[in-house]
Amino acid sequence: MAGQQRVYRSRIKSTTSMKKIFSAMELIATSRIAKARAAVEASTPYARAITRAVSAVATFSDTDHPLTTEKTDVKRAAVLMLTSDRGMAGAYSSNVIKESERLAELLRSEGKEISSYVVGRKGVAFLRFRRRAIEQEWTGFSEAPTYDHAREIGDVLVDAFVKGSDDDGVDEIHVVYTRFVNMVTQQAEVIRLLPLEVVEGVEEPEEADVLPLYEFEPNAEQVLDALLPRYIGSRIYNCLLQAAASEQAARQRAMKSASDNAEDLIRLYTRLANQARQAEITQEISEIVSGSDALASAGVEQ
Amino acid sequence: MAELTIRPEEIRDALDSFVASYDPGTASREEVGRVTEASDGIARVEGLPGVMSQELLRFEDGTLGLALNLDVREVGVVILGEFSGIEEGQEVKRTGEVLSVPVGDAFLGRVVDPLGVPIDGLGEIETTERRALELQAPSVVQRKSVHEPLQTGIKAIDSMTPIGRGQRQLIIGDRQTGKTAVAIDTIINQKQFWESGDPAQQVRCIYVAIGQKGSTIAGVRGALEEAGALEYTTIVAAPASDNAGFKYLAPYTGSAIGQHWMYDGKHVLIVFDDLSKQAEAYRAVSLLLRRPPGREAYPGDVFYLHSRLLERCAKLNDEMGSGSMTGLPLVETKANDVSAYIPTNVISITDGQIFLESDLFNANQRPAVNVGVSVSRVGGAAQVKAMKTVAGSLRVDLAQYRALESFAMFASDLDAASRQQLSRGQRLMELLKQGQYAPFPVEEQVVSIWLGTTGALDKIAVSEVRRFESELLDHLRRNGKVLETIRETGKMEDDTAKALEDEVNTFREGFTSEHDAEHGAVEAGHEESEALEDESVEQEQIVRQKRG
Repeated sequence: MAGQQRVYRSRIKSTTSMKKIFSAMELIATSRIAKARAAVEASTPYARAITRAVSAVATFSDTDHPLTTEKTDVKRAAVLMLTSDRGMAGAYSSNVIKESERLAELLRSEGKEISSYVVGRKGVAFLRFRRRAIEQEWTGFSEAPTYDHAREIGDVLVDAFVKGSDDDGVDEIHVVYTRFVNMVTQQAEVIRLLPLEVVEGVEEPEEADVLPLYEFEPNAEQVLDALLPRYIGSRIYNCLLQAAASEQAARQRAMKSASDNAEDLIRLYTRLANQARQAEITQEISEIVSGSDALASAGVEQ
Repeated sequence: MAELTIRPEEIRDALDSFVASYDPGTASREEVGRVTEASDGIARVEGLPGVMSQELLRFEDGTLGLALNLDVREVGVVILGEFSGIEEGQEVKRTGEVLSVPVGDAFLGRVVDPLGVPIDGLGEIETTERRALELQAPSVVQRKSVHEPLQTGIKAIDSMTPIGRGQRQLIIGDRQTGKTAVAIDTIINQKQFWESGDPAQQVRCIYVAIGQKGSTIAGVRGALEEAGALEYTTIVAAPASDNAGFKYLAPYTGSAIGQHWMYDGKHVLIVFDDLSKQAEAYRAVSLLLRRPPGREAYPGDVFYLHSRLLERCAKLNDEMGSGSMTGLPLVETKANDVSAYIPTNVISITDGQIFLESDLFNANQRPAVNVGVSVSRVGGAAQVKAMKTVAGSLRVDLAQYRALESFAMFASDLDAASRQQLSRGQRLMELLKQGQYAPFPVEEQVVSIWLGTTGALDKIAVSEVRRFESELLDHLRRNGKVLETIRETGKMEDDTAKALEDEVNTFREGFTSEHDAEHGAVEAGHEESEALEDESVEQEQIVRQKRG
């Protein structure tokens, strides 16, 4: 009986300390979401500017560029997966992984081979456990990515795309990441990054947005050559930032439910511990009472 | 009127002869009492002033009773038998005998009740001696230290918690963990010693069944008969249908039968299955006799109940005949709680315990001995030298394995030394598994453990270990003298070890494994996933502005 009480009490103690950890992680994740969203805000002006620049070149010239040309015979596709480095984020990484597996099924059904590029330790562990080849992996910055990381990833991917599948490169690049829709919704999405598609604008641009008539020195191709890698880098940076914000939101949700569950467990075990304590006291009392009763009645019979 | 011809001398002579021939010894004297109250297996009897404690009394219908409570005006009697025929007002006679049972070699192979009456239908038991049940245990000077092994035939026990002749070793565990199986295997293992005919080797066995199901006792008897062990075993049965008095007495009866042989210089093994039920029966009897209940409602002397029983198991010194009686009490715990009243009592009385855990049993580790917690306070003195040599590192290896066990799922991520320890530990645990009714003679145990501790099994897959072991032992029984040498000398010398190693290497070449021994290779998941819709894949676009 005393043994049972001790067991319950030690469980209550350990659950309480775990609850403290979960609550702390929840608060930290909440504050980091704000920071991540601020980073997205901060990157928006640059993103807008470079999009405008690329759009200007596309509007005022008819050049084709390897990065915008659809390849006729696509043999190998690259898949870049953005997962988290740390766990305790609920289903964040596994949602991304599931989506990328589904993308892989689609690509395989189209007859394409797959090259894996991974960001984040969770994705690396997934692929390594299943002994799949990883072309390149990046870890350590999934919570707070910087533009340098995005540029590095972008350079590697663009190189692989330019080489083409005949030369040990790839013909397409897809990115699987988690889009931050709002605080409640984060969605795992697939986007085909390269080759870029050039489309005609549908609506009339507003007065302020009208592009001036640019001239390109030395020529449009070289300007595109310089701009497009930076553009890809900026797109990837945006994906990384959104992924970071989603990761923090997922972690906050997971830690909140963990601390709620811990609270429930504490309540349950407290009740059980009280029951055990009361049962022990009752047993002691009844033993003493029956003992003294037996002695008393034995004395009376004498 | 006729004249009276009786002369005064004739009257005097007649009186003289009558007085001279008066012999008071021929007149019998009986103390007869009367039942004042009878209920629930207890009767209160008044009118027996000279009754002795633990004396047998006979009721009118022939049932026996045991006088336990000697009060001022009446006696509390435990009825040993059916109490339905006992009514208030009936006569009760003293038998003058303090509780005793017949003893002797005629008991071997028989099943008896706690009063020594046979219940197996094989006729009367012819004996000449009787022994009182409450004789004291041997004193300190009459004893000798335990130095001979009692081989149980179970690898896990003989290697790490060895039992000696004269020791008390408690077998404790939850229900259905294999406690009785361990005891029966030990009894069956004594067959090889019985067949040798040497009285210094032979062990007579007594199995005391207290409160067991009748079918279980029949099963035990059947198993012993089939293994040829019944010829040197006595079964004292107090099944669950018996009254509490019988269940309380059964262990003492078994002990008395064993003590007779012990003082005769023979070796005895006695199994009490199980003492928890005896304590419960004693509690029932005490409560009905209105003795004050103590902790968990057991009477105050429940410790003395077990301690005087178990103290009778001893090893006698040479002057007393060098006999011994080894005790294997069984205690059942509830939910592995060894801090309850009876288990703690018996643990403090015995010279060590063997813990059987239900978790190990369910994980297919049978016998389910928890080697970390089980202990034998006699230890190495009760092991043959050969076993001591090979089993020395076994305990340490297993302790290290247990410490690492929880990391086994990360086997591929650990360093080489830890992985080696894990694989060695797994093979050792596999080696300690043993079938029921299949005890191993000591030389085969030595070889088996030698295989494990020297790493001869490291290249064999864990699932193949037992097959390798059994086929190797088969091979050794037919080739070479290794087993014989170990059996005869009891030692594992260097040349024996070398010969054994050679034999193992020869055997290993011929051993075909059924599959490769891959350690730590986990099969990766092969999940199926549905293909994405083509529309779900978005496309990065560069928008050309519409030119007016």
